[in-house]
Amino acid sequence: MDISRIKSNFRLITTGVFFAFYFLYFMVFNRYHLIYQEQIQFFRFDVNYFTDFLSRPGGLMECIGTFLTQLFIFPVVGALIITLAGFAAYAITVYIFRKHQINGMLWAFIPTLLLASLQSHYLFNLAYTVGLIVSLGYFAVYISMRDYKLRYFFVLAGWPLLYFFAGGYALVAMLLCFIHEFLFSPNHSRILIAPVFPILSLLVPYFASHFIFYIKPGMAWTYFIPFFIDPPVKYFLILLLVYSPLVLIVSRRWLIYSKRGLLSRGWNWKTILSGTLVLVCLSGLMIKYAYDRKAEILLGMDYCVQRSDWDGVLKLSSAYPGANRLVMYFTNLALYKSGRMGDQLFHYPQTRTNSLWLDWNADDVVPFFGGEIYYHFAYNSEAYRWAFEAMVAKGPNPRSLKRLVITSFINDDIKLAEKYLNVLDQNLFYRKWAHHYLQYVNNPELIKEDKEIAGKRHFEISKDFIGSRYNFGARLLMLLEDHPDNRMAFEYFMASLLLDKNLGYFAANIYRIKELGYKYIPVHYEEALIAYMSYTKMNIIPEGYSISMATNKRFSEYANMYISFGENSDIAAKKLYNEYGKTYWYYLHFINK
Amino acid sequence: MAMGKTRNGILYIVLPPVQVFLLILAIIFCQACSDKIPTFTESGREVQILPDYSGITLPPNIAPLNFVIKEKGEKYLVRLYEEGGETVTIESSTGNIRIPEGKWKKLLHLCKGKELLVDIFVKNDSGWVKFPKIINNVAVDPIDSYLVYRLIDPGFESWNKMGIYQRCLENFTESPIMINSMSDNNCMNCHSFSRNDSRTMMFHMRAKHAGTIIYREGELTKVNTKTDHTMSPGVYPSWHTGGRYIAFSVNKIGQVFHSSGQSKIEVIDTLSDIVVFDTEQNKVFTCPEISSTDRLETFPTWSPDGKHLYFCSAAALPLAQYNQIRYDLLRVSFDVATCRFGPVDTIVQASRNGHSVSFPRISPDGKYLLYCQSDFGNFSIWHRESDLFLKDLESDEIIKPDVNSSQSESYHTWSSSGRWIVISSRRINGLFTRPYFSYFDTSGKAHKPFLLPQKNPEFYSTFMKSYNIPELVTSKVKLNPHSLSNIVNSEAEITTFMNNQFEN
Repeated sequence: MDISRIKSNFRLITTGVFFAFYFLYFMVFNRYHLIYQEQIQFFRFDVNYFTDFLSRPGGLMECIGTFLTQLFIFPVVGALIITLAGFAAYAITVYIFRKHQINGMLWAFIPTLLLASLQSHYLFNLAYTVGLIVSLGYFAVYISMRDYKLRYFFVLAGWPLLYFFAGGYALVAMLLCFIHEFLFSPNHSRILIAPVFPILSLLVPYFASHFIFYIKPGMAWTYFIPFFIDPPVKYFLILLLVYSPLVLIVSRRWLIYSKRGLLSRGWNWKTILSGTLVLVCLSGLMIKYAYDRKAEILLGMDYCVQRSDWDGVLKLSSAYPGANRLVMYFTNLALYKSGRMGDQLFHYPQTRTNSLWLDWNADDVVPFFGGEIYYHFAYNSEAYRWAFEAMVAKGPNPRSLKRLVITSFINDDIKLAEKYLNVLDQNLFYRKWAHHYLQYVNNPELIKEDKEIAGKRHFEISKDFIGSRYNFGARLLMLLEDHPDNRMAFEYFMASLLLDKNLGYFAANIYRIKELGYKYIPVHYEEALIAYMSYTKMNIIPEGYSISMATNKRFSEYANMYISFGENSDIAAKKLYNEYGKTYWYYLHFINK
Repeated sequence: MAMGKTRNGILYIVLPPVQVFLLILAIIFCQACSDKIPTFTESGREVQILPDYSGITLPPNIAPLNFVIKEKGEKYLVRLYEEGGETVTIESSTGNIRIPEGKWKKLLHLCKGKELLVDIFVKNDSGWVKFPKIINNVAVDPIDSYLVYRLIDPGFESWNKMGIYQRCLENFTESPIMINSMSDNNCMNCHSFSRNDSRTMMFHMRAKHAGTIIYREGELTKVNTKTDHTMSPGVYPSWHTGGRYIAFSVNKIGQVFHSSGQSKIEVIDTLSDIVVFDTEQNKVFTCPEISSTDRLETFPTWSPDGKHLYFCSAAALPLAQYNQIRYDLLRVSFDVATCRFGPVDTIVQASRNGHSVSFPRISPDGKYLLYCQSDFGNFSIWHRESDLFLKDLESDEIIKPDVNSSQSESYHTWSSSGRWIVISSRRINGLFTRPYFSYFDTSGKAHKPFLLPQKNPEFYSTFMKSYNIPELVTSKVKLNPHSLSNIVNSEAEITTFMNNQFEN
């Protein structure tokens, strides 16, 4: 087998292995990122929806990106799409570099790795990748034209269109065209023509923002490029944008002033090994700085919540490093839904009532995640409000729309539910769901037969009370008083009292466990009651219940140990943690002092 | 062409190929014509169409009232015509009826002051069915050519994309006056015009780039209407007829949310007063009658002659008693020469009957007052029970015109001629506000309202914004986001408070 055949096969194998790992990286390590991205977009087959994309540069890429992102509903397909997009970027880059006599395998993998880093961020939409690919593709077409007159026409006539399609990414293409023309083109008229390129790249966005698009003029040149992303991922973005231009400039200088052919170095095992090593190191760097494992766990918990996989939520919660309010919020919801709140609340990190619900904030995160508990509380008005605010913040999205449908049905707002269903009906993947519930619009008696809706309606608040955006703690008690049989309201209420160390009020409400039909006193309630009774010397255990022997025994042991440490609370905390760290007593004495 | 007889005496005609072709075409055409008026059975019930454009009075310059026939069928046929005159026929296989603009304009012109009739035929399994004729009236009085409104999410606190738009009512063209993608996604609201004139306009910018943009005499200015003596920048505006002064409310607004029932939110003023802004001197003045400490004054509106300022006034109560705050409608006299206020009259004492008034608007001829009435409070768009009421300012008679629905009717304005009213209504689904037009005839009767027409009559079923503050203007507003970009992002001029009203 001759060397060129071996080379070719090796290239193919390396590329195949690289993109196999690329696929696996997104499929396995970013699965929940992909699912989340699907949940925060909503592609509609609607003329008005489509024409809105044409109102801004890059809008068409946004449209394509949104269309493809809806396929992330199947994570395997999502990972495949991202991999194909990465491969497209790689293939175009290979072509561009070869045209400029840059034949080393490694060079084209680097921007692909950078792209993977960016794609690992939950806010980096596929649309941005598409914009970059189109921009690079434009340059690839440009350099494929041998006739310089055709090339110039392609820029003069085609680049404004590219700007319309790809927004600020078009400037990357223009920069590449300029570099190519100025440094690589043998054409003598390039000295006159090349300067026109940057002038065009200044003027077209300027005029577009002043006369065509309704965008802030200052943003015209970078429109659609996601510079809003925080560092360090932002640096990967900048690096990706300047990478190809820099490589061309450097390679040109290298060809002129240095030993020719270093960038098309001979093929041997040394270069293969060193290249592979560089690739592996870069991949490692990418994973270290770009891959957000915490976000993946958190988004995984959200996914499990949506699927009512409460064990899954708790499993991920245990894997989460450190403390995060959103994690605690999901964890506590899962604890309640799996019937373990009273027994295992303090097995997980808690920070007072902050752990139970999210404080209102008009951003694009809090309403989207924070509205979940209100739905489970059957606090319908609040569930509706948060879902609506999430839709305002993020734009129409399947999760908010579905929640608005159900809460509208619960509230007997059939016409309103129909409105949201008409919107869902415009989407390929939610059409079926919409059709199911559209039956309710035409046959309202079906609503009463829906168990989910009927269950929520059972807890409909009978006496209206008003609340501000901040005082959910106070409203929790009102929910409970309106419906003493609202078990979730009760457990969250009691949890809030435990977390706030309000033992007096906790004790005053323990009687409710009898009304709610508890078979036994949950473990943490026992612990709190023992603590309370040891301070007050009062017996407030509801009739028919008792503190278990195990809890009594454990309390004796804890109390003896606690007392033995005297004033040395820091030492006591360390010593007692292993055995008693998951008890309410430990929380009472040492956490959130 | 040749003629002859066969041996059997049968007459025959031989035609050249071209004539044969034309004959065939003519046969097909005649057949088609006869299909346009099919044989049918009569239906005894009214046809279901959306929007409901039946039994209405429409202006002679309105865009086509496209609609959807909500009847099951394979084919649909619609005839619009004047009795014994012009006919426009539309066929459809989906029931989505889009009337050609040119033909519509011509028909409306011919039907001015007369009836416009609509026959609807639906073909189903049992053949063609004809529904009872729809009779609409075409008024002689045209409506103002443009409608200006803000498009917003009918939410609670958050906002995202929003803008102020103008829609030509004679066709379907909509263009932005200002959208917040040009101003860092801030909030803009309370656009207002002087006497329906697009050349004198104002609107507020909130949050980022805050200030009030005033367009007057061809000039754009941006002012900060907040002074050291006023609690907030200007909120609800009303242009004085002379175009120099703008009355504003200044408010401290709070929101609380309901936990049950159909009401979702309560927007309450904890404090409010009224001030008048002089656009030529950037000064604000007021008087105790419209800025008292123990009352909430809001929703100023000038009489057409500029001699009175009408406003809503309620006793100030704690937030916990939000459902007992009830506004009456008062007016105070105003001397434009001296900028002095005079005595106060009570015009509508709604609180006595357990009701509350908001959004008073006086007809251009000064004869009628249109206002919203709800059970309490002033933010009527969130009150389902809010309805429009009409007071004859000459006879003092108050009636409830037949323009209301079971959902909220709220913000409304008069056209420049006083013959048309635009109403914000949530009658379709209780949340998304849509603009409706009602003809107000010379006898003081408001006719059945009809919905702002759209090119695609199914547009509203999936449109996710509310139409807010619909204002009729006589001509196109010559502003757009590009022309406003500089002023919007600039610093606001300072306003000073003129204290002389409290002297003497």
